Amino acid sequence: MKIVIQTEKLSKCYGNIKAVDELDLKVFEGETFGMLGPNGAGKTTAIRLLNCIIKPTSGTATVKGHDILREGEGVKRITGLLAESPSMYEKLSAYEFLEFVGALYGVPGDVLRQRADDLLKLFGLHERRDYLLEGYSRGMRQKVLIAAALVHDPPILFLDEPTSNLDPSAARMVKDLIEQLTKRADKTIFICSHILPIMEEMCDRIGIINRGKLVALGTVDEIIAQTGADDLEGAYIAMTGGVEEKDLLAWREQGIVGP
Amino acid sequence: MSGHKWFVIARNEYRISTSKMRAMRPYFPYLALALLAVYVAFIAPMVVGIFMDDFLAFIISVAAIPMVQIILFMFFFFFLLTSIGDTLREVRTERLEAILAAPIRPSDMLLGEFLGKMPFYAIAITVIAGSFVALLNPLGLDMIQNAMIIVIFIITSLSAVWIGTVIASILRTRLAKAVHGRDVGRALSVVIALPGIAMIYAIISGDLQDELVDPATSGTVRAVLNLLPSSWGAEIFSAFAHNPGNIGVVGLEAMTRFGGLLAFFLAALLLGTKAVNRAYSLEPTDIWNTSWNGAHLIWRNISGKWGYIIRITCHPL
Repeated sequence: MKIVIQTEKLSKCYGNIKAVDELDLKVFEGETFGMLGPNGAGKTTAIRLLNCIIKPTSGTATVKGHDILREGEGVKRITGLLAESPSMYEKLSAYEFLEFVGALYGVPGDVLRQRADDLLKLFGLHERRDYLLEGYSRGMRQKVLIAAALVHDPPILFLDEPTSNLDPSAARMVKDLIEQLTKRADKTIFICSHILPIMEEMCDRIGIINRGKLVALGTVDEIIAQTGADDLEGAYIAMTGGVEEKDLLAWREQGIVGP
Repeated sequence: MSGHKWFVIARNEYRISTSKMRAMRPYFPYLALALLAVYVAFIAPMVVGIFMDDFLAFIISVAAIPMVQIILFMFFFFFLLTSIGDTLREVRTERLEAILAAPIRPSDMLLGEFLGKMPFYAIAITVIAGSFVALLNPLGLDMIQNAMIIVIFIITSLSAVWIGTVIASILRTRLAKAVHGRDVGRALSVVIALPGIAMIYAIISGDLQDELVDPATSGTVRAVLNLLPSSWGAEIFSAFAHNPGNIGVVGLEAMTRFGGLLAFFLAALLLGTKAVNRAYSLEPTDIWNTSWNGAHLIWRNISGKWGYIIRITCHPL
């Protein structure tokens, strides 16, 4: 299989903190790859590095043959990003926002107009296409942002928490969409999420990152087998550490007198 | 298309600015042009006619040149502050992340933001320049003299808006990474306006005019004003007012300053595009960790409830 994302000892340090620590990773064409990890583990930093939004402290990576250090514009042209906590241009309508993002990626005007309309129909937002985004709910905004990541039809998609804020039916639609994008359109999808069932269902392979280091890599079954756990949740906790049941209420047993 | 990314950004800025009047957005430029034409042709001459006698007495007085310099400085300062203030009120990293993910150069972002603001600044520039021309026209200025006055206004204002856009872009990027960056940005947009407000009070109260008329003090004020690029075109205004219809009266020194104003604008454009790579970045900055560390040593040692308030206010920086 053809490798589309390859990192070589990719590292990013903020002072003494190693947000990403010598990450070695290969993602194959047409694959849905999932990156799991606790809050602050380095998932978002890894995505920012691979999208050339920030520069690595050491190491490098290639995205579809483009070096992230030397060919940033080339990388950005072939990737779509749904950021973790993106802010929107609230004074634009959904249609204007998609038109803006598409134009930034150089999508020709007539194709862009049709595509923006099609995506808004797909996400059930076409009737409100001219409403300002400031009036949209969080779920509706998330749909617009996913549409914006797709509007230039990139071969590689980075989706940070794609189903957060979505209602169950919209989340189902996004999951089906991701599946169709890989199966029918041969897209490569890199997902970060905390929702284990979604990752288990959608991803061909999963990487678990903890404190910047990749601690596990493989299919769900391989990762479960590596830890001897019963399921992915057990494997995830075994890899990243959890809290013992006896410690859960320890904070209120330190001599504080109740009412 | 890749050559026109600045246009995409500029169009987006324009759309954001006109979001409250989306229904009339297609007609807005024509409406604005028509209203401006009416203002310049009819309203401005009518309004300035009310105090024309006082103005004519003033323009040939000894205080005229420094006063025009001050007026130009005020416009420069106003455009600079408005440009910075507009940007600092909305400090958000997340929006920057969305743009940085797209294949667009920082210089395109800066140029786009600058041009996106320009329609509104152009209205203000036209109103101000139109008023000035209306004031000077009764003196009998010819076309070339009027054109030069307008050019001076345009260059002075464009320099201010450009410098403001560059400063705001850099500040916004730095502030966006601070925990209370948005609050600090809003506070800064107010604080940096204070010197301008102080000068307006000085003009209104008449203290500044007194200083300029007094030969003992006006020299210092003039020397300070001569250093400011905003006032380099002021002597041309005064020379034209004294010699309407005689373009040859403008001396070498005045023309040199006018050339200096042009050079200043071009240098600002060049330096702005060089500096812009420091803006539009999500890379960590040590601005809060180095230059503010000394201050932190002071406030963390302030005790009592005031010390607590100062610490919790300043610590997130």
